[in-house]
Order: sequence, then C-alpha cells, then structure tokens
Amino acid sequence: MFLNRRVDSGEFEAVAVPHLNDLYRTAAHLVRDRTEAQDLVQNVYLLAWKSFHRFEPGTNCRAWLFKILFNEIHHYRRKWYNKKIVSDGERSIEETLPYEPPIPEEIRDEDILTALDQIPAEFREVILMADVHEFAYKEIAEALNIPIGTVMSRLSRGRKQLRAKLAVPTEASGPNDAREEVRGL
Amino acid sequence: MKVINFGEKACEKVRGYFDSYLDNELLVETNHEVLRHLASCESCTQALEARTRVKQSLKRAVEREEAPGILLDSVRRTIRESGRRRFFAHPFIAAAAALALVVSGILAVRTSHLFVPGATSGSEALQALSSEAQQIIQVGLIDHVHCALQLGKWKELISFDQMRQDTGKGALGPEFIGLVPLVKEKLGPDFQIVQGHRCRENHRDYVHLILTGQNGSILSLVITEKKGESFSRADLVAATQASGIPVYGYSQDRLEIAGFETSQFLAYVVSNLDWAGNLKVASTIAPSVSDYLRRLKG
Repeated sequence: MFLNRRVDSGEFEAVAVPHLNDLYRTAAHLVRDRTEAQDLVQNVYLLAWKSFHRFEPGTNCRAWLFKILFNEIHHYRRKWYNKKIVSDGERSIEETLPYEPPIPEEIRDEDILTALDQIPAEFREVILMADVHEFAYKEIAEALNIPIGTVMSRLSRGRKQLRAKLAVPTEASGPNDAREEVRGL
Repeated sequence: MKVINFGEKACEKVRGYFDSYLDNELLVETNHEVLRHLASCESCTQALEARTRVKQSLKRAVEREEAPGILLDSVRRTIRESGRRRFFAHPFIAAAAALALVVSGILAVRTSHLFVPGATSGSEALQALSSEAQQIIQVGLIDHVHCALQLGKWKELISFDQMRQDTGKGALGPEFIGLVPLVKEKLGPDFQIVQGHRCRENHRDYVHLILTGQNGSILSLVITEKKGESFSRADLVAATQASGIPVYGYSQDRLEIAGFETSQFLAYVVSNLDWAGNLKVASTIAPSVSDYLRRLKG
C-alpha cells in the first residue's frame, strides 16, 4: 500500500471535537488552573490531529484523546499536576477510619468539587475517569498506562477519601463512637 | 455475638465489591452475591446508596462546567489552518508537501510587508526576511496570538486598581504598573486598556498590555527582555522614525506587527488594525515607553 490513510480535518473535527468538554473538565480538575487547562487541551488536539492518520476509524476516539491528555500532563505539566506519589504503604487519615462516614442526603456541587480538589491527583484522575466519564477499568488502565489492579486500588482509596471529606459531622466524638453507630444501622 | 461477627464479615466482604459493583465491573456471580446480601442488609443498602449519591453528585457537578467558547473556536481554527497543509501521510508525499510549503513560505515572506523609510503602503519596498528577522518578529507575535487571542484575555477586563493591587506571579508589579497610565495617556480615549499582566510563552517572559479599540480592534503591547536579538541587527529596515525612535513593521496572518527597542528590551505593538494604524500606535507610544524601559534597566 503506497499511501497511508488519507486524513481530513472535517473527519477529525467530527470525531474528536465532541469530546472537548470532557477533556477540558478533566484537565481543569487535574491541573486546577483554567488557563493552563485550556492551553493543555489545545495542545492535545494539535497532537491528536498530527497523529490522526494513525488513528483507526471505529476505535474509541475519546479514550485515545484522554491517553494523549494524560501523557501531556504526566510528562510535561508536572508542576501543575503537582504529582505526589502515593505509595501503597502510605495511608491518609481518612483511609484509616474504620467506619462508613454518613454522607449528606443533598450534596452541593461546591462541596463535592472542593473535596475532589483536596485528594491526591493519582486518585482524582481515576475517579474522574470512572465516575464522570464512565470509562471501563480496562480503558482507564490503558489511558494511564497502569495495571487494572492499580486502577481499582486508587479508585477505592480515592473514593474513601472523598466520602470522608463529605462526611456530615456527627455528635460522636471519635471513630469508636461512630463505629458503634454504624454497627447499629 | 458470633452472629454479629459473622454478619460484619459478610458486610465487609460485600462492601469490598461496592466500587466494582457501582462501575458495573463485577462478574455476574459476584453481582448476584452482592444483590442477595443487599436484599437482607439495610446497613449495606444505605452505604451503597451513599456511595451512589457521591458518584452521581460528582458527575453532575463536574459536568456543569463547560469549556470556554474561545477554546472551541481556537481548536477548530488550529485544525482548519493546519489541515490545509496536510493531505497525505506518506513520507514521499509529505516531503513533497513540505517542499511546497517551504516554497510557499518563502513567497509568503516575500509578499509580506516589510517597509523601508518613507513607505506608505503594503505594495512598496518588499523584501525577503532573514531567519533572524523572522525570529525576532515571531517573539512579539506569538504572545499576542496565544495570550490575547487564543486564551481570550482580550475579553477579561481588569481595572487599574485590580492590576495595581495584584501581587500574584502574573502581576505587572511596581516595575511595570506605570506603563498602564502612560500608554493610556498617550493613546487617549480611542483605546481601552483591558488588562496588563506578565506571562510566559515559549520559554520567554513577557510584560503584556492588551487594549481594544473601535471596530473590533484588539491590540497588544508586548515587552520582553532581549536575549541577544536586535531589530537593527536583524537586517530589518525601520518603517518610520517619525517619533525619533526607529519603528520596524511587518504583516503576517492578517496581523500587523510594529517593533522598537532599547538596549535591554524589545517592544512590539501587534494588532488587527491596518498597517498605518498599527504603525501610528507604535510611533505614538514608542518614545515614552522607551524612556520608561531605559529608566528601568539601561
């Protein structure tokens, strides 16, 4: 075959541009700076367009764009990403709590977004991928280039931290009291 | 007591599946196991409801924010503009296309407007630019295009008081805040200063004032410290010296660029004004801005 796939900017726009909002939201919550997020997404589209002739039509364009996004963030935007490697042995206080904290019936947008911003970036990215964009674990693992087991572990730990930050303060003064309360449920 | 412990262990086990259950990632048998447990365990049902609530709330909250319209416009423009240059991916054809681009690039440079003294229109005194001249032009152009236009900063009006009080890393700071009233006084009511800030593009720091004028004109005054470049050494010929300061002019991509310099700084006026209008703005502010920069640093 002499020619590779012929690419067309109209085709690229049709399959890639509909994911711009998803990419921007993810970038904004990972680098936590709207201007930098715009710059990042702009660059992701430029990179994607440059390699669009290698993209196989019919495969998952959204996952492909997210893979480019994470590659950009992890390799070139580390100062914004502020990566703090969370080792398996390192547990936050929230994660060591032995009980299920009570979650408010109505969760306000600002509260959950604040809580999200407070958890480590490694957890934030898998949570955004699973909860907001509803990617399968296999797709998340491929986009982030990590094993599925690590996706599951980060998701579990991240969600636990998120719940703890959203927890309704109870009259119970400590974990032991709270644990009793949950046992009684 | 034993019953309670047994129940707790069963709950613990089932709750361990909750994340995968919520994401629809469990095997069918395990899914049934979770459902059987939930049918008889109020506590776990409530815990699962809480987790579902968190997941749904997060999705809703994050999705409420939309990407700025300017980003969509900018992405589309980038694709369409670069799309004109690439039709084939095969190396031979890409090489041929690249050669065609080089040729057309040279033509573009040749037909861009670089003016000699006394020139009054784009048809006069054209000349090809050296690579050094092209580079020095790009230094000013890139910040205007990226920061003012693509990032949409020209729409973000910031008052002088806000600029003065700003102490962040993007603030003009005491060194450069004085440029704002100076430029305002020189240009008068025809232009509004939208904002002034410091920014960084392509490994270079800039002081950047953005202004808007009549008929949708957007203008940047871009100042950056020299890194060995000079307009006068870059084979450029000043378009005007009417103000006593040589001002160099160039046109690219429907934007007009006018530059002047001190021993330490390069300054550019970049806009969508016409050639004469852009040059007039640059000539009007060049003497005072040059004095200001010289007082600051040589």
